[in-house]
Amino acid sequence: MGYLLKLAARNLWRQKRRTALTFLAIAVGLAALIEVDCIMAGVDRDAIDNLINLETGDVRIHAQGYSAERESLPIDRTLDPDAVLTALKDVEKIRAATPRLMFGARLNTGWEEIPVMGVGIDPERDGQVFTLAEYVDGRWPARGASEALLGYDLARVLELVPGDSFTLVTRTRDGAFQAIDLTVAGLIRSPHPQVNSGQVYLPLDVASQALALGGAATEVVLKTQDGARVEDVSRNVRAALENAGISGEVLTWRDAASDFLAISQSKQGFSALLIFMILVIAVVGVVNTILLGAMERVREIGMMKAMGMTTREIVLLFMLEATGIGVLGSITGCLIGIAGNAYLVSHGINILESYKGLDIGYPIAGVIRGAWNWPMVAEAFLLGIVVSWVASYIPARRVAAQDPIVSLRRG
Amino acid sequence: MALLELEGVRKDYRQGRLTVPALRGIDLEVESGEFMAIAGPSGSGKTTLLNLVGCLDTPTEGVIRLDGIELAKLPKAQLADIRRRRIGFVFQSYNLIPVLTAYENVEFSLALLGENSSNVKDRVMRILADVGLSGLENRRPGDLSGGQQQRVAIARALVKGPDLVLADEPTANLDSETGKAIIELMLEMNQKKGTTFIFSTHDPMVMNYARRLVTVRDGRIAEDRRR
Repeated sequence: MGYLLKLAARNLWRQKRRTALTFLAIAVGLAALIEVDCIMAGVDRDAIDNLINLETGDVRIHAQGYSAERESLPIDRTLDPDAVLTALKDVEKIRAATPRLMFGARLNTGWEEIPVMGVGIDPERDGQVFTLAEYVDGRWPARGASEALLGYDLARVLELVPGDSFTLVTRTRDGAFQAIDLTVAGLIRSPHPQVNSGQVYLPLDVASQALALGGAATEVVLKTQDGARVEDVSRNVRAALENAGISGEVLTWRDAASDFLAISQSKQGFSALLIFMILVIAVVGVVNTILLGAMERVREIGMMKAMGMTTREIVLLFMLEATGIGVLGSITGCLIGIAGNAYLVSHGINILESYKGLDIGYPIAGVIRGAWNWPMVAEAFLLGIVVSWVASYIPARRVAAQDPIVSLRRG
Repeated sequence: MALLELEGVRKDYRQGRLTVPALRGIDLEVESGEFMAIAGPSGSGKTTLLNLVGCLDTPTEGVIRLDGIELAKLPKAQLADIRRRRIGFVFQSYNLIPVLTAYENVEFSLALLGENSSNVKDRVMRILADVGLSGLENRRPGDLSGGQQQRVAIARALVKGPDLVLADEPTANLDSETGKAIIELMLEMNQKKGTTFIFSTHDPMVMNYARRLVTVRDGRIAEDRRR
């Protein structure tokens, strides 16, 4: 085996350019796989963080039947937040809870009117569950004040700045028109595009009163303690609500984000496509390298068989050469991939800045940072080697099966 | 018992629908330690005869025995093992492995036998010295002359101590002086080590060195002369 390894290693460098091209093709494919996976892992991580921290919380409670109609933002399916919070008092692993009131409205500036989503928030509690306050340029609205926070993109379109006034036109639960006059207290520049472009945050008490809801909310959102499983918490919440006689729907962030997760799942198909492309590159490259190498070494193969080398040993020799190409490709590909990942993780790329307004179905905006996925780096490393090794078998068999007499004569 | 026995050996090749006879019934016995030339014009069947004796091919008819063992009855793996252990080959165009040094080319023959003991280096260096290549062991074939390459090939064939060395036109690619030196080296090895040599040639100078000259014509032995 030792002499075959030595011979295979030397043979690799007989045609330096061919070997280099083959392993570089594999390396580029593997590096692309690692890079794309790094970006996707980063996008997933950021998107999930944004979903939880700015939209869904860890667990949400709605009135019964709300979810089925949530697209239309119904305000006739509400909860009494005080009753819900009291019912959850003894449920373990809940760090914080806050009510929100979601409603449809039209934002009127006097010269322009566009549809928005109104979000009534509890100014004291909201920051315990959501991170919205971290992204506010300006003032956080006070309870009972006719003030609002606007997404930065929405404010830019409407040319509104802090201190400007506007009106939210909506309907009460009874269907009566209602106009809520508000002042811009601050602008939100968050990493969640929907928050930036289509939402108006105002104190819950102001919103609930304007909509004639008597302090009701459309949801109570929970933040769980670190390490808690949201499924376990939601089960306990459901039980606590039942005990308190409250009919409600309890959703984890996964339930609420099913659309996003479906898109996230589909990226695995993209990864599979990349892996398939790498397979094709490796198979074509390795098969081509082996067959060309064999054509140039016909007489040598005949001599080896004449000297008593078995077909198996010659197959092994060529497979070792292919494996060497795979190892070189894997090492190079992984090094390129790791270097690229290091940049993506530390600096990120600002793809979305170039495509402002493009809805890719992901709750992310601004700079996309990569995330390390070491198992994928290991998988890519093995993929390059295993594919090269396996791909070489059939051409190696073909080469080794040559009749030594024909080989010696042909050379 | 003769080292090699051939009885009524025929070999036909198919060329499309045609059957072309290469050997038409060869009877031959070769004793251990012989230094034998097979002569004859191109296409007379010299190389076919060497291929059959070297277990690279099987006869269409007839029997070939090596030390009494009938070769045609052996499976391919066993024939490969015989080639590996008992037969050395020297080719017209040397057929050294270009990426290995002279030393490594010779060592390769022992590596195939699984020998990796400490005396491998001694054996390789000694045989390289025997063929006059001391000091050139680290050169690759591309850095050696044709005669030197053929010396490496002879060392490679001899290092494992085979019963039989088969050389197909070993001097055909060499000038007459170098060819003479190579055949003298083979003769020296035959006398020194007692190894049986069978080589094909159509060079009268080379034939003169043979202790036995078998002339093949049209696939038959035309003459078998001992000296």
